[in-house]
Amino acid sequence: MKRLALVAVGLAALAWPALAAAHPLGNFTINRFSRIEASGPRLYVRYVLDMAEIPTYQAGRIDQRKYARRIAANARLAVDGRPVTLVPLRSALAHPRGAAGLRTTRLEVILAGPILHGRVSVSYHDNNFTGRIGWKEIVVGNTTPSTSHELRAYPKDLLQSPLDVTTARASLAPKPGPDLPPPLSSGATLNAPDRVADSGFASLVGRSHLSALVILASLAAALFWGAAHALSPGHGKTIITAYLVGQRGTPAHAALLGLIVTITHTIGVFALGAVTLALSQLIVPDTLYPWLNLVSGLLVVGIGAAVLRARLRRRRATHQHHHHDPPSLRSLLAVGVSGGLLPCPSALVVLLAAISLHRIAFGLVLILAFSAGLALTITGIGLVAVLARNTFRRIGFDGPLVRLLPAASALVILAAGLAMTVRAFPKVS
Amino acid sequence: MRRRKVLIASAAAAAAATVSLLGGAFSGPSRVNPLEILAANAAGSPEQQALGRLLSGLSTGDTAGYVRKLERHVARRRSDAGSLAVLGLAYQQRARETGDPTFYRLSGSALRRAELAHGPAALIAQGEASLANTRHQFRMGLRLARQAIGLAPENGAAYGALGDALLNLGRYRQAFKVYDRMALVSPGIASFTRVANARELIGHRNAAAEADELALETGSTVPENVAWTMVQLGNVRFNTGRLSEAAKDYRRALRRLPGYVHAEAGLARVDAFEGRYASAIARLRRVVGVLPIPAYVILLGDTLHASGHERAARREYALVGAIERLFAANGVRTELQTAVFDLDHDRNVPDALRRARLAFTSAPGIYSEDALAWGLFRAGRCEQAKAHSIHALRLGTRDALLIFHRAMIERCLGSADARSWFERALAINPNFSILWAPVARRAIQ
Repeated sequence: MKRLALVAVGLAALAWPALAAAHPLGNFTINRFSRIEASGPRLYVRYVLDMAEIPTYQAGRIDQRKYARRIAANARLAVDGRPVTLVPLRSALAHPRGAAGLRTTRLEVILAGPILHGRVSVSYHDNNFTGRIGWKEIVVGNTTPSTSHELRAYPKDLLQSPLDVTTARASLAPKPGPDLPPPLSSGATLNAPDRVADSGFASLVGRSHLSALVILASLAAALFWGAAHALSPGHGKTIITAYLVGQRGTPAHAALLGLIVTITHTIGVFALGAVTLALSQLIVPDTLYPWLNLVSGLLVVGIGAAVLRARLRRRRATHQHHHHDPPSLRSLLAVGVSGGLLPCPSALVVLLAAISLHRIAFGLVLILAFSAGLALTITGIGLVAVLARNTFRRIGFDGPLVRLLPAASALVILAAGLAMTVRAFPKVS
Repeated sequence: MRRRKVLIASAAAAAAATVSLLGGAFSGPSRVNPLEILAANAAGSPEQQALGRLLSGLSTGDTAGYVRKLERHVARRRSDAGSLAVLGLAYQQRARETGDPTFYRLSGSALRRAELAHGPAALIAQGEASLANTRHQFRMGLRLARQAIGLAPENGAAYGALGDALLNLGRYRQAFKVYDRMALVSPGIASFTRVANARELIGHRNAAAEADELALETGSTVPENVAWTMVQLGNVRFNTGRLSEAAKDYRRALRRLPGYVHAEAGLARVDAFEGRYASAIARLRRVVGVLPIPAYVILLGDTLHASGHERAARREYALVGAIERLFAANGVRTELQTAVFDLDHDRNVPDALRRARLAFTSAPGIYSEDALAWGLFRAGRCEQAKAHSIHALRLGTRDALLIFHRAMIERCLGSADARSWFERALAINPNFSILWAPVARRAIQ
């Protein structure tokens, strides 16, 4: 079943050329991990090798035992300053599928070291595949966490260079208990490491058993992901706030805006998904995003201009009368659409994965929940803005400053729209 | 402080020497006084300060360590937009040094985050422009570079990105003007090597070597940049058949940056052409063991083929096929190198021709146009091939392979000129290709 999750990741790759390498660290990499630990009186090194598509291809047929011997010879260990030999005990090999129908490699080798008599200082140098690019990690101790989960989940969204640790020094003591070599992975954990740390929302659709509880939990999780995602930059939060404050919106307007954002975002994901599937030969979503950015920028400029014009006209027409025109449905629609137009990449991945897994209905509901979460945050922010304004008014703050709010908000919207447009423009191709 | 003064003085001297680097072939006398620009630079806009930070960080030669320092810094101060932008640029240097495309992805994320945090816009646009160029999105690179120059006209690197985009789009004259301007605005290794490249394109190989020498004299402190320039210089010499001088340059680069794969590959090429196949193959195995990019895998395959190791050669050629499939899966649709490889080895000719055409329409430079001509020739359409070959040679580029392609096309058309084209190719460089130089020699016997 883990293969399904892998399919989802593969599809993500299909949709985003930038992520397209099925191996998250690039098709060229040879990634190395060593865990130095004591089990009972003996020192062991658990060595993991993860080769991406091209090195696997270059290696041809891999002779497990030959590789294990080579790895043991190049893993240099010294105990209290004296070099000791490591002996390969057991190994496990798998070829998880990579991009373009090519294979990748995961090889695990247990290396046995010397018996420890009391606490010793250990120095270790991994001299395997020197010069070859890739993730290089060493940890000491059997419970020490590994940043890459032993080359199973590389951190992807952080700004972090691949680890490049090839030497380690530590002190190690024998443990009470029997001399048991550390275990090798087997089955799915060996065969299909999905290698990406933050599959998050996108992994939901690949869950193996869809019991009612799992579905419910997935929906809640999708809602949460959407709500959290809306807090990242973008999504028209500034614009919606400015609009609601300036246009004397009511809580009902805030809710309506949330609804429009949900619907637009859902439709946007479906439309982009359809385009991606139908025209994948011609259009890469990457090239579509700048256009969508530009359209939403122009839309916001339009809204800003319209609000400003209405404001000026009204001011000329009714100088005395204090008019409380509610925002028109059309302008509400425009604001909502501008906020939801840009489909979130993870939502698109879910859709594509759902289609490939024949779980279209489930995928649709997940995306709906995600969009609803998105809208929940935006509505919440809108509500806070509306309530804050009302509070100010109630405590008699309706001075010239507040009366200026509509015009100011129009300017804010206009400026935000112009900034979006200017930023989007050079990237359109 | 004193070092800085010396730097400025030597830069000014170099700037004065550079005004006519292109021999006035493409630029008139400049109305800009280089000293004024340098003075303006010293005044220090935020962009210049950030660039200064980057340069001094990279000068230690330990780019990896510098990048890690920046990573730790931005992990603590998530909204330090200036550091994010510098990190984005430093990642690109890491990508150049290691050949690891992961760093391009990281550079993209860092620059995006810098943008969201309202970082130095000119620097971000410049970084994004060179990123677009590395992804062969030259039109986007062009737009972003223009934007960067608009925001900070004193940023030399932005001119570099603009010129590179123009060059790859086949707009040579404009590109050369931009390089000239870059050499004025920021005289240094980056601009002089570009001028050298431009001179090589217009067939002035000795002048190109001079510009590379000048680039090395600017005293750049970034080891990879220096080693890269030495390799470029070696290539210029190799292309004119001066193998032993080229080998000297490659060795110099290896001394400057031990294990530098591009220098190692250069030495392997020299070995192969001087008939030391075993040494060439050993070197190339080391090279593709570290960095299996198509150019070097193809060179290894061709060397194995030339030395009679047919089976081993086929293995490397199959690897090129696998890399090609990965490119396709990654959405890279116009990889010129693999198209030329297929054409050279008479495989998938219709598809290779289609890819060459795609490469030419998306980036209509002389090399993509030559590939298109070569593809048309392979498909038997020699009339059309000739038109493109003529156009590909319009700059007067003295590249033996381009001339050899023309010779083959002329022969296909039954032209009497064919022989003289073969002779010209061999006169420029008797060792221009393991595969094709013997063919050219046979043709004139």
